[in-house]
Amino acid sequence: MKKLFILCYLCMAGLLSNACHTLFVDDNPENTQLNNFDLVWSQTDEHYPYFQEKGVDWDAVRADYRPRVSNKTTSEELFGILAEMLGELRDGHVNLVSPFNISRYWDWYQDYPRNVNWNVVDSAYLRKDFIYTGGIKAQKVGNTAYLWFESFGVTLSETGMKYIINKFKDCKGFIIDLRANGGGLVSTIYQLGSYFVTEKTNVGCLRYKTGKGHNDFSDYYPEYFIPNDEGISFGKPVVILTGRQSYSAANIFPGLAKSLPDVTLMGETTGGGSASPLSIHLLNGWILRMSNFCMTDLNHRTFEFGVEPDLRVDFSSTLEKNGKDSLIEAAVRYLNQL
Amino acid sequence: MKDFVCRCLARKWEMLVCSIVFLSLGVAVSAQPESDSIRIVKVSDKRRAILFVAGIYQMRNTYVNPLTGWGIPVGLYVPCERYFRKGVMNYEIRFNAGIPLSGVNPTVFVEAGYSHYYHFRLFTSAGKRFFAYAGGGLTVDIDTDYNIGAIGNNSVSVTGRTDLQPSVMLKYRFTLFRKKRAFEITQQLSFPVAGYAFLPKYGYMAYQSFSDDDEKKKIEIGTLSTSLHNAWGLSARTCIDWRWRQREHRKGSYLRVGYAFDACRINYETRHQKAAHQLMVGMVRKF
Repeated sequence: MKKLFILCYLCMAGLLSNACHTLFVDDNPENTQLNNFDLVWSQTDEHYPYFQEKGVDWDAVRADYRPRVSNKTTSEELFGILAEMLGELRDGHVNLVSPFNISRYWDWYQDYPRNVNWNVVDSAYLRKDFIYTGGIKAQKVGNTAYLWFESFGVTLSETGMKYIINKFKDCKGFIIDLRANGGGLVSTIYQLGSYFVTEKTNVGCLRYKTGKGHNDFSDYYPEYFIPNDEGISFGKPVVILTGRQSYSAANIFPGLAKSLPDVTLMGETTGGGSASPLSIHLLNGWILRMSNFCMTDLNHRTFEFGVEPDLRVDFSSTLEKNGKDSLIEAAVRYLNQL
Repeated sequence: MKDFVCRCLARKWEMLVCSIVFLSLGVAVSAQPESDSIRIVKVSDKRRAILFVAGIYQMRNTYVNPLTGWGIPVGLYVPCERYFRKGVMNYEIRFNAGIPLSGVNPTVFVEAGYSHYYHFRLFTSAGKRFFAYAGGGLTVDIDTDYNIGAIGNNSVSVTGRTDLQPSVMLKYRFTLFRKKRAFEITQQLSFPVAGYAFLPKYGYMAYQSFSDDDEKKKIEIGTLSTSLHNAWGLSARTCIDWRWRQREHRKGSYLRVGYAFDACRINYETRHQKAAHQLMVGMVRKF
């Protein structure tokens, strides 16, 4: 009898503990098309920070799109409806990732003329003997140092940056080309920024969502460029070349650097995107990405819609045909005049 | 039957109270003095165990993902006990890693914790078979959740927590197999009543945790005074010690198998919920 009791007791103890775990962890809703739609809508409603700036009535968007979804909607149809709904946000950082397609909003550069031709840059300016370190291709152009930086998705090499700065220390200035840079790591923004300052410098502001309401934001917090450990900086005027394809980190960086005295932005307005996105899994395994914070300049003007250049320079197809890049040529002239 | 289970699950608080009462009552009832006496030796002064644990967990950390995921936790527990005339001091070091098996929340976690309790002896049965203790202690836990499927800046969450926990411990000694094998069941239940938690704020950006700029780090960590209104949990341990070819509770090495249930829930700007059922197997050394 005692053995039976002990056995029953241990079984019941396990079963009851198992039952009471529902006290601590909420269950997921059922994986249905409607629940997935609601999850996308509600998570965007809670986290997306630019409803006001973009004038998007998210409740009205729901009212438009939800009737198009039922639990009989196919996955492909659901993807199309959700992609269209998310497109209302006009945000390159908003994506829906499914196994068969990725929704995206790329109008920020597809609706504009291009302002860079890589083949021209490669053959006429970088040529064959450029320095290639930490994602940067560097070459002397005239009396300036030209740095082609294609992605913020890399971590800069400190040794490489030190080498480049020393190698071109006698040049009149540096040209950093971000025209084909689609962004990357936020940390690389600050890493590159560390070569622009000799002391901790406030270059912009940041605020983030503090709650689910559309206006639940933190205060603006200062963003700094902090000198690197070795105290190396360009120490010369810097021209940053921008275009519509300069997006996300390549949009934030010129936005922050613009406040520095020796920095000039040249080219086109950048593509926009002023946040690093967060990601959320859905019940069907798809992933929703969206912006979740706001980076601004010192006057709290958002970078979301792009950063205006200090000097607007158009891309010249005529010069392109002659194997020249109008923006690089303009930057070289500008630095030589200083 | 399904309806009955659903109704039971819906009445969560009643289930919790019933569970605690049942778990306590069970040991108490089975601990009634019996006529067949066994040779009882002096209670050991110290016990030190090392236990490998594995089981199943469910978790939801709305900072890294709004959905609940599940997986397999594996870890190591090192519980120790030191007996005094009036009670027992227990402390436990825990290390757990969770391997996700869920497609909707592929979050890995690594957690480490330390508990320190003191239990006063309330009751000893006439045959020195049953012991009841009550007391409390302090626990400290650090939990890192990493969503391996995330492609954004909310992939990592670090949560710290320290709590005051009342605790009850019951022990029962018995023999089986015609009194040739001596066993000891220990049951401990504790739950947090007040404490402090450190956890990510709603819109915190994970990458800033690694920033060189100290000012950024300051703004990201939320601190929260916890009590039963915003955080609750339960820690239950049931284990059986026995020694091969030994009919007495003596000093030496014993085999220990057991079951651990650990759960916690914090409602803050983000919600942290975790429950794990784990089997424990290891050795205990009684000095």
